[in-house]
Amino acid sequence: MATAILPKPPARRSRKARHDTIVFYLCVAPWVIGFIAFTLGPMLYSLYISFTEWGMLKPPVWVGMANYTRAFQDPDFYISLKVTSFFTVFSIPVSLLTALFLAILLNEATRGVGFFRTAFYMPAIVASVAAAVLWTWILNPKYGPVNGLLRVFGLPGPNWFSDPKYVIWGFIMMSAWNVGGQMLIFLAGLKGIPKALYEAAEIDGGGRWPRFWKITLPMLSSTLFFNFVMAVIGSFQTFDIAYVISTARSGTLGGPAKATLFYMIYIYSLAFKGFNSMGYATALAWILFIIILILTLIVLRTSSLWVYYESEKEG
Amino acid sequence: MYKQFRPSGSFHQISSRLFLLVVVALVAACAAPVAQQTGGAASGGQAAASGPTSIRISCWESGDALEPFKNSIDAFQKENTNIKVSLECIPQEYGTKLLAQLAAGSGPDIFQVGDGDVAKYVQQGAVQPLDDYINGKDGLDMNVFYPNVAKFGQVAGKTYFLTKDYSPLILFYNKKLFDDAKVEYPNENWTWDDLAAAAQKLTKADGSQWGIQLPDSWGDLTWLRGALPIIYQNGGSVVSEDGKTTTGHMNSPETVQAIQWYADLVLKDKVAPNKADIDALQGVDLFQTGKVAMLWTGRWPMKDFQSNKDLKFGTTTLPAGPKGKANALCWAGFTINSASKNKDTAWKFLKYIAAGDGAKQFANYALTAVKSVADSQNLAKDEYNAPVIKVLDDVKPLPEFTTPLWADCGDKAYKAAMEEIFLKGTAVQTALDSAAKDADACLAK
Repeated sequence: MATAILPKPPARRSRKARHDTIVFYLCVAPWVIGFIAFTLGPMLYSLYISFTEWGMLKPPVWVGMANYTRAFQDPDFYISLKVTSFFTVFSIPVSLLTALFLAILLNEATRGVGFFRTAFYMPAIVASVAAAVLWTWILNPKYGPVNGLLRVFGLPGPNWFSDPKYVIWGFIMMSAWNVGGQMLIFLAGLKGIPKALYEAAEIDGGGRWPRFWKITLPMLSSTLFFNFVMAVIGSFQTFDIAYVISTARSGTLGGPAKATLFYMIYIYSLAFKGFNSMGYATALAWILFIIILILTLIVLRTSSLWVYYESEKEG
Repeated sequence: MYKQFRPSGSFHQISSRLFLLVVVALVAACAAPVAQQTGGAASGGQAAASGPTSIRISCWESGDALEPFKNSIDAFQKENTNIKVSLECIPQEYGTKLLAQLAAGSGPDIFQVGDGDVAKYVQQGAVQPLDDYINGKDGLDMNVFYPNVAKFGQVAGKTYFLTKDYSPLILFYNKKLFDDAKVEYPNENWTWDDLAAAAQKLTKADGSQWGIQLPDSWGDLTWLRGALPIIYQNGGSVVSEDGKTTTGHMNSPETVQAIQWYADLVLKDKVAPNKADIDALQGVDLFQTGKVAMLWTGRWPMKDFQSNKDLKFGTTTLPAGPKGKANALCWAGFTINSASKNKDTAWKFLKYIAAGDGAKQFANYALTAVKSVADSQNLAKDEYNAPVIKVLDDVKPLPEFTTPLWADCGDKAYKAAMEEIFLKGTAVQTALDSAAKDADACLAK
């Protein structure tokens, strides 16, 4: 095997090297122990729970794969997947484009950059519960500014958060508003593009659009990639805003009419509101883990097709 | 300290010291959860020998509703200097927190439970059967309670909970709005038709005033408890007595007709605010601001209404349906944690707040189940409370009594059907047919 081609270890390792190794392991021990005790341990335990029927108050009962097969026969499982995917598919492009647009504006601006950067970033530091309550007012059917604006154009505004047809679009609007974090990362990426590239293009007579498509976008692709991956993961884990808005508005988690039954909301309602369904909820959490893992792998594998790393090309 | 970690120091010394540090950290990490687990439940037990016994009681109340807790704890501790009672109230997500505490073995000794969770906690073995205490040395005569109410705390003939408070549903009306519209005040002889006709006259076409808000004060059109009286008043039901079938109950002609009457008030006659109206006016008390002339809800807002000097209101019983009078209770009780280490002490305090002097404190805030206390309050003679006492005779059992799966299966399906009706305009029969089908499938699991 592989050991055959390895050089023989020195007969006696130096005292210092051995001490170094011990010190290394001792130094990382707190993190390793923390990882085992607070991450790996609970994860393995939850994997075990996912094969049981458990209501938290009595000992879990082993049911084998029953929870996993139940998921695929559960209409609410598919509804929650549909709601979550629909939100992901629309909210990510909308929020990424908004963030990129704002970042470019800020990058071009010469005056008041500090003010606008703060203003656009502000939603990111607003507690999500407060933001959700704020949006119930912005999208208030009678007194909200959005419907007020629609009325100016003679359009009847819907009852956003109580109408099963429109509620998800209300959430997508919210995601376009809360782009401060993504915007800052884009801005940092824009600042990192060498000015010389633009100067060269200008000398060659490249206009604004060609410069954007041929320089800005390729040079920003790794930033875009990072934001995209984080946004996919984040949107699959949407919980807090949906929790606040659905309980405040329809009195039901995931309401109205299951239109905001995000995957995490479904897991939560099974785990803590359901009867004896902590095990099933845990199984759904593992299914989500696998879904996110697969999606992230797909994005990572295809990234070489559309992400440009300067260092790689040079190397 | 820093110096010793530099390479110049002896490695042997450093590594042994680090090793010690890690061992200490490990011991601390492992010991902490154990200490936490026992600390909550057993601290009283350990302290019993040397100091006062302490017990914990948890509730979901907030604001004024905490007064009876604080007052009765103070009074109890004065009488029993060797007992310390600590109050832990969680107004939001109470059930979630309680479940987690119980699962972790750090649950309170006494906790508040709503009628919907009674069967669930009993089934899970989380609550202590109280019969041995009731019949024991420090016993309790159950005849001091109204039997109709005390029965809410019993499952299969055993008592697990003692009543904290309860409320039937009643009708509030705004006298000024009735006077303005020259409509006669509601009374105990009213029928569905009387209510609908008055609501029509009290509704303004410009959308500034509705005749009635129902089935509650916070605007949840899908709340089953508030609509149960309507269903019962028409001879309908939502589930079979064995808790196994909803088909033929939730979608029976009587139930469909009852829900149709309710939905028509909102959707067809438009004499009650619909979902969009309620959402637009979020956070506004529609009754106190004179936006609705009648309010169909529990007794809970009465105190607020009485303290509002500008509001002239009256109360009466719910109207009679085609099958006469019927009502449903909203009930909360206290129980003892089956894992409590201080059950005897917990029982002593539970008895004090449910039937003893503490119950008088709670009676100041909400309806008491103790007959003698209620009699001393003279509620049956009180202008506002007389109808509340009167309807107690009309109270019918709840679907929650029939199965621990009710919230998960029956209530969920009902809510979904009501959303279909109120938000999508689905026909009542269609919506309830599919609700009964879903609920049955769920109950069969």
